[in-house]
Amino acid sequence: MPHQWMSVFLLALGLASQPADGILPLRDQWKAAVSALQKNEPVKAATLFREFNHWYGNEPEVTEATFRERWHRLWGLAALQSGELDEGIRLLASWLEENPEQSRFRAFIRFQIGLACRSSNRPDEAVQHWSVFVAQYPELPECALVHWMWAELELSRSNLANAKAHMSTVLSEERLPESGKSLARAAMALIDLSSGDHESALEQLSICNQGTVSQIWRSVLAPSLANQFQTSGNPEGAFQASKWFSSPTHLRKMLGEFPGLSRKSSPRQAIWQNHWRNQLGYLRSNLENVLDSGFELKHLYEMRLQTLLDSDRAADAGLLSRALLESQSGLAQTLRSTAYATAIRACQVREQWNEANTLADAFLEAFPNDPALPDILFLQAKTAAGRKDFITAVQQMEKLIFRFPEHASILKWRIAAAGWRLESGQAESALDEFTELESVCRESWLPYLRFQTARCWKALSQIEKAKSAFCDVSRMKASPALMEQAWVGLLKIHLSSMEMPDFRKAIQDYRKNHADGLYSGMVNLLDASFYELAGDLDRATGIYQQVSTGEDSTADHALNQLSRIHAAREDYLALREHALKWIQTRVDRGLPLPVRGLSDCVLYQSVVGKAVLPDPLFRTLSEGLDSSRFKSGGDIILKLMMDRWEDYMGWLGAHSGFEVWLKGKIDQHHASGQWNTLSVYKLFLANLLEMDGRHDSADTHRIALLSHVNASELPESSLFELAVTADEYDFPEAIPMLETFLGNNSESARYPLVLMRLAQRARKGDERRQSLALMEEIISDWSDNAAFISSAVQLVKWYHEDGLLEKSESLSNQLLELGGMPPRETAAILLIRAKVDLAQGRRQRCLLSCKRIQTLYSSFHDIMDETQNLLRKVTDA
Amino acid sequence: MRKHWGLLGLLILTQFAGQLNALQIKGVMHNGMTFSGQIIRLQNGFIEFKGSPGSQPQFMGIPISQVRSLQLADDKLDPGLLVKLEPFLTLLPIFDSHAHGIIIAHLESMAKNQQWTRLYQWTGYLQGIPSKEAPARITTLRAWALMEMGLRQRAGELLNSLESGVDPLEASGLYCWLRARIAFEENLPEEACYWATLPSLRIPAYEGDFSTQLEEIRNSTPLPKPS
Repeated sequence: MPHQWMSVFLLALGLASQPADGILPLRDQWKAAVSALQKNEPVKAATLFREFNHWYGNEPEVTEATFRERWHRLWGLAALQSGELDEGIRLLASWLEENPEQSRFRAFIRFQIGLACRSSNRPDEAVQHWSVFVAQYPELPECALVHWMWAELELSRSNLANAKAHMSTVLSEERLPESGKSLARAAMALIDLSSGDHESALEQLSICNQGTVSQIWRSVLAPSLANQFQTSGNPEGAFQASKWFSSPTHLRKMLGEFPGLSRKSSPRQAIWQNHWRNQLGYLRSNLENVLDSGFELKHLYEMRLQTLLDSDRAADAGLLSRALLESQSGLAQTLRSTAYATAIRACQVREQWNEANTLADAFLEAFPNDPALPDILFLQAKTAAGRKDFITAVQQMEKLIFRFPEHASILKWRIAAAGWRLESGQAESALDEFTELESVCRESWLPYLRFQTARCWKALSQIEKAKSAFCDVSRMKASPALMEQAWVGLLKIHLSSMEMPDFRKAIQDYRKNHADGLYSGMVNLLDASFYELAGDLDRATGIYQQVSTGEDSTADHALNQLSRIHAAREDYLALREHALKWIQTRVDRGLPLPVRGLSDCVLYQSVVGKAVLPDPLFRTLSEGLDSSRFKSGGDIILKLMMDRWEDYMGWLGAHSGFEVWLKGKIDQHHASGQWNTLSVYKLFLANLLEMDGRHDSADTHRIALLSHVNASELPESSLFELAVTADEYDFPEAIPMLETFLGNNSESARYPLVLMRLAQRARKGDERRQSLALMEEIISDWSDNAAFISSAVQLVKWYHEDGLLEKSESLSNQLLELGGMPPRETAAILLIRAKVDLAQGRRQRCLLSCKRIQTLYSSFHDIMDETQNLLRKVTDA
Repeated sequence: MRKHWGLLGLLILTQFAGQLNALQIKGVMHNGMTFSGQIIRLQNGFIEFKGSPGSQPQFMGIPISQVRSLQLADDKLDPGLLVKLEPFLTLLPIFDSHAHGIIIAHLESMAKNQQWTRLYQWTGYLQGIPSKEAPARITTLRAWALMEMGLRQRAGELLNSLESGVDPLEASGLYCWLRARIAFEENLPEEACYWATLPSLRIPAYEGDFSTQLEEIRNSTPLPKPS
């Protein structure tokens, strides 16, 4: 078909070169007009045709049908080419009417008229011609061009659905070249953007992935697309779009390398090339507009960082922030505070609280007058809240609010501070603050404030008021998530007070209003708890089992609850089945082994007296031990084996006792140099020896591993065990291992214990300043850890020894005001403070402290002896 | 006689080949005068060369001390360029930045052909050339050669020496890949992940020769997901 078309077009012009037989007087005028058209001089040709009409238009030879057809066709085309669109349209439209039998030229002529109508702002006529064209010539690829122009027209008239339909037809044309398809997809994306269908726009641009044209369109549209997704709460879409961001420098380079078109060689090619030229021109002007709009790379980086955080890519956000903080470029300088803030937020998401604090401290120290200071201070408080240190969070917020009372975020801060105050146990003052905020905040925040008020009432045991407030939220115009949380709050109250009818009604109402809600898993857990409390364990178990099939935290909770119920019911068969399924699922998904599930297996074996693990799972677990597949749980697997060794030994092909087999494994992995695999077996053996009272032998096995294992690959518990052994016996591996532990397990509860050991090592090495700094780190960052009190007591002693009496007294006072201090530590602190008091002339308090020790803590003889000595000194003085 | 003809033929051929292999240069002297032609040899502090017909006398000698800069006359990627340059290594510092760019492109193709020892040798010749960007590219290529020759520690030291001069937002794909690879092999997963991921996070995202390798390391060192 294309060849046929080409010949038709050539013919349309080519016929003109034939002499106009029998009309010799007209010949020169005719030849001149035709020749001008052939030489691509349309203005001259149109003038000559017009003169021809004027002088000879009524001659009988000229009005003869065959000649008239050629003459009007060429004249019309010349008029169109010369820009006389109305004249061209009139001539060619009458040509179409007069020559219904000229099928060879009709498609071409109709296409040209449609084009001319569109250009001369006669859209209705254009549409009329396009309708006829696509109906009469559906097989022609030019139908795609017609639909494309039509789509543009509909877009300009804001008929977006029609525009989309026409562009879909264009995209279904398989004969379009790949670059043409890219342009068509970009055009479709523009229509989608105009109609607010950003997802579809993203999809079109994702497919549009060939060549420079695609790259430019993506770069041009990506910022606004990402922005739209950010606003509309589609972080994944925003991230996808942000991957196409480009720098102004790169865009300018692309503008310089803008694709060109080859010269036309036939009228048909000219039609296509004109179309591509228009499309490329449109793209070029869009690109130039973007560059002229003064968009900055800085804003793109800000958007990129935000999209990474929003789309659960906190690790990547942290990496990019690090690069921005390490870069010395001018761009990085302008992004400094954003990079700090993003890095801190990334650490918060990943629960790396210490790193978050370090970053905030570094910023506050280096840039104390930066405009972003309030934001960083807020993030610092948020870090404290994130690690559940709500008292510190509230203190930091109070300072922030006091320092920047006029800040734009003041209400946001007050809400956050009140929330943390509630978490820290100050429900009454939190309630006052939320009540006050209700009168000053905008209306859209009221549901949230009401929700928090409900929580305060609940904390203050004003249950009826709490229920009423939760009910208010569930009926307010709030976000679905908040409404659901209010339902959960209400259900929890009904559950804790065992209001059976109210609970059932609330759960029905919740399910009616929030089918497949975000909190449906949580509500199911509450439902199961309800049945469990009501004694209907079968129904509770059924619901827990249903929830446990998911992959989120509620599923984990349900699994743990099932485990607990089976154990409580002493239904050991169910416990076994549950534990095995749990372990198998984790193995299949490549997740860490469930410690609770493994412990249930230990329980089953000890109670039932049978091997718990079936052959295939046993083999998987034992092979996993040998290949270091499991990072944790290895010790429990070995315990399972040891407890029912007579059952398992056959599956392993062993013929000796467990300990002999264990030693054989140790020898095997020792010989092959698989040190980390070996460590699981060796540390298990060490613990067996330890339980047997053979401490030296246990430590010998641990020490044998020190110089061989790769510390960074060890499970946390094993690394801690080895690091402590190395430290106690003062092996050179001690410091690297303790430091590796700190590097790899910054959020571990054992972290402060390791810090303490490092501090004590520093003290021994007479690095007093370092020892104090390490202990101070524990005091400031680990106040919620079990190691806090012993570290604090040690620090008070060191301050005293080093003559830092004020610091010693201040920390002593803080500790003595703390509730829950153990008696021995309290006595020790009282004694040191008494010594400080004596040194600083506070004789009265010194005496009181000594008396207090004598009265309350007389069982601690060493402290009593020192107290006696001190009392003697006081009396002597 | 037949032997003599053979010898004559060989002589003609080597003469012809010699013409083909000659190094064509253009130069500017401190006084602004320009010259061009084929370098013949360096002797006693002079560049001896055969001038282009019509511009200079047939054979010339110019003191090296008077030459401000040299250019390679032929911009095309001549596969024998480095071989031709080897007798004139002392001239490398006075070649212009465009010529250095051409030479570095040759070194890159040397790396693609896995000629590691030769790459190491050549990056050594180019140490200390006066240029802003070239030294970082050359040092990175040298580190690559060391890495492939199994000298990871030395490769790492070399890259570390560049660290203050390399902006992470602008670092080349090769530099990032080498840093990631070294960190990965030294069991520093966080560092490996940083260098392997960074190029894809920059704007515009890096898409180049090392994209696949970077992705492989990225996939081998996933950072823990938020809990």
